[in-house]
Amino acid sequence: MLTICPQCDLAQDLPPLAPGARALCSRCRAELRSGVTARLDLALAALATALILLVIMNACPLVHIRVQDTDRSTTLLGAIIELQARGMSVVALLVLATTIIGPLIEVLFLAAVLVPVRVRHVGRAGARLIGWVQRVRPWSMVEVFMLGVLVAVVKLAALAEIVPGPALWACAALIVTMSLLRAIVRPEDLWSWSRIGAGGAP
Amino acid sequence: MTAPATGRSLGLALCERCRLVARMPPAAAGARATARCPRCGAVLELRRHRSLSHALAFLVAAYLAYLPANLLPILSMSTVLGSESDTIMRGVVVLIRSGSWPLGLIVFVASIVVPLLKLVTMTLLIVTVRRGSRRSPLQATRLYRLVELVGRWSMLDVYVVTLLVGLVQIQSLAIIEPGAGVFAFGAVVVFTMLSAMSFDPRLIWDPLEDGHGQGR
Repeated sequence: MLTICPQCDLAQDLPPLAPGARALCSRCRAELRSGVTARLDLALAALATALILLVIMNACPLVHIRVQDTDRSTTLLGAIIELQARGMSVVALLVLATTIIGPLIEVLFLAAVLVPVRVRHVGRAGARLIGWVQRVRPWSMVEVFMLGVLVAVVKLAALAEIVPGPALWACAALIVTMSLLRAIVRPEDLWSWSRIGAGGAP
Repeated sequence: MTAPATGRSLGLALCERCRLVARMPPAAAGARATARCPRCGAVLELRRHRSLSHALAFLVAAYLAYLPANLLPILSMSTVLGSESDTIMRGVVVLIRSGSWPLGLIVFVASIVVPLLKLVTMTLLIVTVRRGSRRSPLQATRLYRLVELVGRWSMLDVYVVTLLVGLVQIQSLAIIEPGAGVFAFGAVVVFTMLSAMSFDPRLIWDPLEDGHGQGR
């Protein structure tokens, strides 16, 4: 089967891949295709998990901070609003986009495409949503944010007692779920999954 | 030496969205492409539209923001122990001095090494493509992939500032104010990411095709 390398444009013939195998470009070593077997149900399960974790991450306190007798906690959104209140609206917007809106779009749009795929096929609207998922992915930075939380906690450790909140655990679990999701849902898979779906057997 | 068969030499384009190999209509092949993927409807292009000038424009913007990002304080903190304002570099030093050097090292890599690496690499890549260089395209492509991979991690300091400001609202503990540096630093991260995204790595390989020496 003829394919073209997305990174160096070399045309090459690709043999059928064994499950678990990867095909690399013979010239620039970019990944052409992976033999990750299409597992739509696994992808849907990961999506549902990611959605629940995202809700927890945004609704629950990120860390509790204890100084003498006072106990305060902050949510992610609370920290962003605080930043905005200190005259850093643009930076607050950037944080909002990369930690809340980015992951949310990634998960919701994928769900909007995958659930119909389970039933029939990727439509034109679905294709457009996939385009958005691809565009948003680099800007959804849950794992970088998690490291940011750790650094902030260490910096404050000398001043006060810090107790991780539920949102922090959700964030950690979300990193794993999102990387699983990114590994199993590849844009080109969606069309092959839907072709299988059209044939009748899932 | 015969030129290797590429998608462009065969008149075939790879859809960036669904990875379908599609035939480019001959009229659109040279000029600005308006062809669409027959499977998913995405715009088909042999090379990303104006890749090099967009990458260069974002890179220049990143360079402009780089100096204030490193010189202006990103955070000022006043506690009972005194007040200090941290630049990016000072934040790293403080973190290493306060005993957590592994974390300090990570922050050093994310906030100092990665932004610098991105600026240098993107400059190098753009110059290489502009000059139509045929030397070591494999290394150039590897550098590009590295930049794409690590670029997002320099957002780290922006998050640290957000969290410190958000967490420390207890006035008796400390007063933390975000500094203008964090705005400039965020701009460096965003602009270098945009520069890498607009850059088309296929341009690195184009000079190898005979007769297509000055591909843009």
